[in-house]
Amino acid sequence: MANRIQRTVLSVIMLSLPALSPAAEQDDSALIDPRIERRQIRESQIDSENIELGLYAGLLAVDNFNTPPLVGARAAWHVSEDIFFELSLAQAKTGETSFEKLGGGVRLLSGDERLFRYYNLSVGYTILPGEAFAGRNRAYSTGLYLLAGAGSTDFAGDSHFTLNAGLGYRLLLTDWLNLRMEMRNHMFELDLFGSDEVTNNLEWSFGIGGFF
Amino acid sequence: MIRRFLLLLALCGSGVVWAEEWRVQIADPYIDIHTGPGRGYPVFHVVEEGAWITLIKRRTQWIKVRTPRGQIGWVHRQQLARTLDESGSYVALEERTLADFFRPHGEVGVMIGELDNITSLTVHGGYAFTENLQLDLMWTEAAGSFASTRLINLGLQHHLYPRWRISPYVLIGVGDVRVEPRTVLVKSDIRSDRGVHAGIGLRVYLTREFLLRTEYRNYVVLTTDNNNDEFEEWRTGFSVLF
Repeated sequence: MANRIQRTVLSVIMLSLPALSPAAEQDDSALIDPRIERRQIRESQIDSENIELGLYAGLLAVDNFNTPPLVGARAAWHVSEDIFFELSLAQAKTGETSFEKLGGGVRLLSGDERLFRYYNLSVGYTILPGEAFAGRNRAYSTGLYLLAGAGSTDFAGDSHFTLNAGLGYRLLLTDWLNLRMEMRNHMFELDLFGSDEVTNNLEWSFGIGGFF
Repeated sequence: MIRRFLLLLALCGSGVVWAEEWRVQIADPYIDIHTGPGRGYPVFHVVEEGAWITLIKRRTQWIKVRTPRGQIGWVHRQQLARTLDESGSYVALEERTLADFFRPHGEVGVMIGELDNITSLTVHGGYAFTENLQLDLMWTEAAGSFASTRLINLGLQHHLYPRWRISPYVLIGVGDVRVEPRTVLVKSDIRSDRGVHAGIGLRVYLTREFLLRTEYRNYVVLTTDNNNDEFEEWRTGFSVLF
């Protein structure tokens, strides 16, 4: 009530003082139009980083052959904090078997057949997420994960259905840049020496990757 | 993801593009800030009701935020649901459901199965341009003891009841069948022939954007011999819809 009386009295004064009214009008318009942009937020508008791309290099102990260096690339999609799906491709050039070394001029494989190439699709599960401390003020996110999957290996002139399983350790240097160390076994059947036998090819690799 | 590429591109050039950041106001009595994007990471800070926090990015179910005091940490998306944006409404969490995929959408997936008694692996991608019809491109590899078979197929799927959670479909398609005999055996030619196939399948919508898919296919390889080859395949696998 008091407010209304005040307003009426004030407006009467304002109207009777025409010199003051333009200034009052200006203030009014500033109040009504504050020009603040009000944005509505949806979850999908927040930049998401669930895809991880990386390169790796290491050693591959090819069963019955030597242990050549290996290089590869990987792409992973993180579904939740625990689970990720991964596609990896890698290549290594194997050397001679012991049989070839001892047998003089014997050659089991030609140049191209010595290339060991694989691709696989795997599922990863982070069993032990954690933090690692470097000194007093620095902490890095880490994770120990299990990985298993299936794929195909081109070796000795044929493709072989390959199962893989392994264990890895991931350390995030920054929010998006990470280092990994991984040990994996690639298992497939090879009949190069007459009969079908399951070969175990152990891989030990180091990689660098980023979340995009 | 795209923003980072854009950022890199921009940095390579002369301009600098900043990823957009959003501010929200906390509506719960307080919200927990974790040191990392996971449930086990310790809570090192809380921000109380009414304070504004900045959303930087998200990874899986976690959002990276900056507090008014400049601390940076991670908040679970469930807690983000209890914050207000600048217009005063709750931040909209988006949970994908089956109904989101009644409109045109894409699908990628992997499958494992048995092709003519040999384990086979399939990678596929497709596009559903109507509720009922989907075009699929599939690449299958089956490495057996006598030969390895590679198939590239283009197929059309017809979903009989697209709105069902467990939805049956029929499919037909054409492709290329490449049979490569094992090198240890007598050297014989690599054969590449046209093939046609038909099949039936079942899609089971699991949750969010995930799908389980099982199907049976019958292939007829149109060889240059008098007889056409015929073989069948069973397979099952996961797909992601987008």
